[in-house]
Amino acid sequence: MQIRIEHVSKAFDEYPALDDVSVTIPGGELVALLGPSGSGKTTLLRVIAGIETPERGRIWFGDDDVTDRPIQQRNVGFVFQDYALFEHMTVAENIAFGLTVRKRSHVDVAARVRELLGRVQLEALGTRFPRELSGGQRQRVALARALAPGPTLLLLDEPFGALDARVRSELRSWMRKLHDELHVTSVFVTHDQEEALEVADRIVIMNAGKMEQAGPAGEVFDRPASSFVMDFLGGVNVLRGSVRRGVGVFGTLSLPWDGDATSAATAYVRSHDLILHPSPGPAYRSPTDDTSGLPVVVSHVRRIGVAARVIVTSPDHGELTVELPFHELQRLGVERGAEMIVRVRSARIFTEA
Amino acid sequence: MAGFAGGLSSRTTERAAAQREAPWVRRTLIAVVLLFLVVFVVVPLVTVFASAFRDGIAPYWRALVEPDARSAIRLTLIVAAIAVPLNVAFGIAAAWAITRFHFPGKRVLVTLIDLPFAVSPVIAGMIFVLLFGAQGLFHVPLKVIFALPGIVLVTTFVTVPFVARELIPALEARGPAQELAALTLGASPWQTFLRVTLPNLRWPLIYGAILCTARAIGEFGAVSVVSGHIRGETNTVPLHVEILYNDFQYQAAFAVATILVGIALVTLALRSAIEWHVQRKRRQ
Repeated sequence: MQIRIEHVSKAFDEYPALDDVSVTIPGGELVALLGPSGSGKTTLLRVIAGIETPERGRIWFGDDDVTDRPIQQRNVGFVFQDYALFEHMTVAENIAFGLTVRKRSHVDVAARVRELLGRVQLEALGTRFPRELSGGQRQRVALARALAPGPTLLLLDEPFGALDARVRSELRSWMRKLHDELHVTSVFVTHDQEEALEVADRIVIMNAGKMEQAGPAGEVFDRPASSFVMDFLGGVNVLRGSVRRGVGVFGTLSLPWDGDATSAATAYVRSHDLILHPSPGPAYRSPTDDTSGLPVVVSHVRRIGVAARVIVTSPDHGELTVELPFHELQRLGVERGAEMIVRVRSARIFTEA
Repeated sequence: MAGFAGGLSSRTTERAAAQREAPWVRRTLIAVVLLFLVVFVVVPLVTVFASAFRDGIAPYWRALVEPDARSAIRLTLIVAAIAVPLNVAFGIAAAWAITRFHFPGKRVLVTLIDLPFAVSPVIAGMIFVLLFGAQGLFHVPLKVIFALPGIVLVTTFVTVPFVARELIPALEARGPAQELAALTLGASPWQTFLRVTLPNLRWPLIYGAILCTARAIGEFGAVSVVSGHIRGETNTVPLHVEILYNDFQYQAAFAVATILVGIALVTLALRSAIEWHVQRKRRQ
């Protein structure tokens, strides 16, 4: 089922949590609401669920305007950040709750609970109480409970936030697999761009109560619509300079630019899009293309598993971070204090208009 | 002790550090506390029972079953049976309103709930006489003062804080997440209350209700002002004890007093049992 959010605004005590947000979530997809804390992503999720009421704007589930529909009638499954399991009920009773309040027959409830316990791989734990479970198990109970009544929409608030790193990565891929089997339209909130890029089909990026960009995960990463998106998706170097007809100049570095205007500009370059070269001399200029290089001094080298992160200092731009495979680092003989040339594989240029 | 060593080791070391006082200090402190307890708690308690059974079991029993005593016991139970449910209902409503909604005057409401603790019970009784007495502000067709309604009113008044004060911190600590989860799962507000809120509150609720009951049964001052002391009609157990005592019927007075002491001891036992149970659950 497609979800449409039209011009939704919501403020808490004057502070705007959502400011004229419009976004469409296609049916059957797994969508990440990504943004820093305070960006309004959780508020948007709660507005979709009906837990919060928007001051302006409409929410559509398919062809139904659900803006004024109470929580109980929206048929959404909601997984809370701390899971909010019913502490006085067993795992099976938790999962059955959404069915028994709808007065389903005992036989149906028992069958559905068994099916869901199997799906979340907790068959043996039906009679346990939530306090007897690990974090990852509690999370799966919360998911099974939300799925039990057969929701048309599944909403998850920071579903992996409270788990340790190993459990988190297991659950991520497990949730992706589960979504591919069930195809319930799902929206999850996260502040972790890696999590969003890894799990989601589509990413909606929020900043300061506004929707910055929405699109397929790859597109958002490759073609960020704003400097905020570029910055937030991580590992970005910032170069300041200016643009004029067809070219951007950032210190001794010039980059191709497809525009006519003349203005100040900022180039954003991901750390793996910076390439280190041995230095032939300070006035190095590539003979084969019109991109140029920045002379830098290596100030820090750090190995991270099979990759390496190198911090270099440029007279024009200060510290820059370069990421490269470890074998490349060895081949180039990068070490502290070495003078090198940094070139740019690809950059996003935003003019200051 | 060996069984405890594993889990409690850090706590026992802490305790050991706090116990490094000189032995004579330790012994003196313990002796002072014990002496105090014996003089002010144990001796009076023993006296109550000793005086009650001074002439043996038969007179003790006779004091409890004579018509005025039976009437006092019946009245006390009726009053408690009305006041306690009223305060349970009020306590739940007040705790819910205070922890879940924002409204102007919320702080004032929280303070007002504690007012009956701050006001002397005698004053509380006089307030109700002023309101409902013969020259009172309100004229109701029902006889309130010197009758059952007045006794119920003042008892309810003095026991208002017990349930609400137990529930407010319990609800505050838990937050609304479980209730919201129930709503998203399709439960009506009433189903949510019955199946999620109430079961989660059952221990603080039982605890509050027990304290409330003990006070409702034992209340003297406020009830004394509004009851009129009509034997066999408006005497509660504490008032009956006072009347017997003033009539120099010491053995009978203490016999009836054992009921109150018994209730106090049972309350203490239940209270410790619940605290123990809740703490054990929290540790798991």
